[in-house]
Amino acid sequence: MINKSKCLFLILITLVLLLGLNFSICAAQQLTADEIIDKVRENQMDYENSKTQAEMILIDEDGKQETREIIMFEKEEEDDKITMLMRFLSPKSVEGVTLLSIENGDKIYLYMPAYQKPRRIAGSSKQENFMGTDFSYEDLSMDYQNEEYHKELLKETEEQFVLEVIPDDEDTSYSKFVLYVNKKQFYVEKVEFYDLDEQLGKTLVIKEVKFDDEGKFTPMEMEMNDIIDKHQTQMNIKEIEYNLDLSDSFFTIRTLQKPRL
Amino acid sequence: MNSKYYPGILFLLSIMILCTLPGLAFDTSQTLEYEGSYLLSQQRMNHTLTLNIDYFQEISDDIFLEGNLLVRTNNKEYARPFMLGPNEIYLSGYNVIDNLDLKAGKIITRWGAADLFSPLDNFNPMPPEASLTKQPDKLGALGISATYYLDYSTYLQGVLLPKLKVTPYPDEYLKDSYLANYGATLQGPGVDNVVLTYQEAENMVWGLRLTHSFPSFDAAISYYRGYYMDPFPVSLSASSGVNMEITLGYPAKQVLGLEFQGEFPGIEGATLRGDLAYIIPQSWEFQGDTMLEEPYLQAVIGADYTTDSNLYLNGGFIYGLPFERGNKSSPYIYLNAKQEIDDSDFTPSYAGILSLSDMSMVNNIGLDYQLTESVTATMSYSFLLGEEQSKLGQFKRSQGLYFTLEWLF
Repeated sequence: MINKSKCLFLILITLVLLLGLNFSICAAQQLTADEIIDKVRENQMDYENSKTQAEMILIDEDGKQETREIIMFEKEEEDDKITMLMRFLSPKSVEGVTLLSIENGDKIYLYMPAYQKPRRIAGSSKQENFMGTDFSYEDLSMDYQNEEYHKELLKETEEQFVLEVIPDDEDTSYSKFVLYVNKKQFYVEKVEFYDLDEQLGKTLVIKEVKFDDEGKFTPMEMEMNDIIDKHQTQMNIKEIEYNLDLSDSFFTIRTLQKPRL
Repeated sequence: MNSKYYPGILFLLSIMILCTLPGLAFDTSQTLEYEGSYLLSQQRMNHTLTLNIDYFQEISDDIFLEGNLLVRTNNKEYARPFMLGPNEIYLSGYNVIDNLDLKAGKIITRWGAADLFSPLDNFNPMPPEASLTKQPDKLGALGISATYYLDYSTYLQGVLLPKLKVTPYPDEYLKDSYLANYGATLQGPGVDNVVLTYQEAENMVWGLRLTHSFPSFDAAISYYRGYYMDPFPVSLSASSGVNMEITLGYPAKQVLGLEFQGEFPGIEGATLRGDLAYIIPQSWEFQGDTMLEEPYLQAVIGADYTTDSNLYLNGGFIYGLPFERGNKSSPYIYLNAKQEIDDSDFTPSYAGILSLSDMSMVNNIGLDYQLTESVTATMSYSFLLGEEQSKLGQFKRSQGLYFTLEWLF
């Protein structure tokens, strides 16, 4: 049997918890779309550059799978733009194919060993899928959280904030993105890509996230689904390193033909 | 296949086994390709088995030994039954001296932005086969290539070959050609033998190319000083009544080039690639005919585009094919198309060139089948619409059915 003082204590604890929860919900409700994105940014890894080894699994409508191994280097430029160098390591049919995307795809070069010279890809070809994957050149280099994009909080569930992001670039092939942000840990769990006809074309789902001691997250498993083509590309990160000693010239056209990165 | 090719095939298999041994010092990547063709002009089956081994060895973080070994056995007319040798073998250094990349050895240097028939690509010859079924690899030449990066967008490349690498036409093929063309004009049917002598190119081959990357396209200007890689007749005479003596040489040429690739305002959705060459030849006469004299222009301008339904299109305009020289250059249009089909291992393709001056046309219709992730089979049919004397008449020799099986390992 609970005595009177214990009962009062329990009531107080319950009240404090309820008030606290209510307060946090109120605080969360007060967050604007830009503030949510800022929090996501705060939780992202801070790095000058990174090196990722991953496997891409291409799955067609019938479930037929094809696995490709990649190595990818990224560098964050001063204006938050990403420059990326990515090479296929296997299978043999794509081994050595290397993509350089400079500043969010402002310039894209593709090196295919058979051609023995780098080929520049027109900016307007950015929406083409890259080497049979469901990622377009644009997807690989896009910053969905671009500060200049218009953002709006669409709704909020118990577990997620749902944000609409409207890009203002004229040359993007998407009319909007819808971001599902984890409310507790502030990372993007899912992105929906809407084409210029406002139709849902693709979804990117982050399936596994790794947090470091400071609570910074790294997506480790993700899948891109092409809704129209009924095709899927899974990307599983095997190893990721940050802040390597890479020269500035590494992220230029001269690295494309180097046999080992 | 004749039993004389068996040693070649056995040797090729031994090399393949060697390459798969664990612990081999080189990083290697191999392609084994069988090509069977039934040429309508010869009414016979040709077989070619080729093993291509790309390799590299890391000497330090920025220095590599790289190359490509070619092993081939075939029963083609005029071709050597067995070939073994490095097509490329060179040392490459990246940033060994600040902002300078170097390659030295037996190298292939590709200039020009166009995907095919670039008039700016003059350092390495192609094998002497006119084919629409595939673009054969160029042949390596001894030389050095240095690229200096002025900044991340601008670089200057210099290439020096101490000796001209010529197109390796088999002597028997040249003899038969000259005998057919000039045997009768000498002294009638008595001439039945041809003696070939060659005048080698005297000077080194070199070139400079400056490339800059603009916001929406890359452009380069270049200067090449070297020679035509195909032989030209210098003199012809008869001796002993039955011998025709022909001396062949390689005319010098200079090429001023402009190339570009990228996107241009008003042409959305396509990547444009183009090469423009102003060619200044050495004046060349043979038997009173002026074969080369005045400078002339050649150009290739093409565009890449992929439709929403995964149809890849690559088409464009050519002014002057590689075998056209001087004022014989003429206009063509070309188209390459490849249709990726959802949920299918079959990929149909088409390649064609149409001469705008005499409307002759060469076509290749093909079908790829992906047997496994690393094995592809291709069946194609090549045919000419036009006369043998037409602009594209020389493709008549390669009319026929082709089958290739390619294994990457």
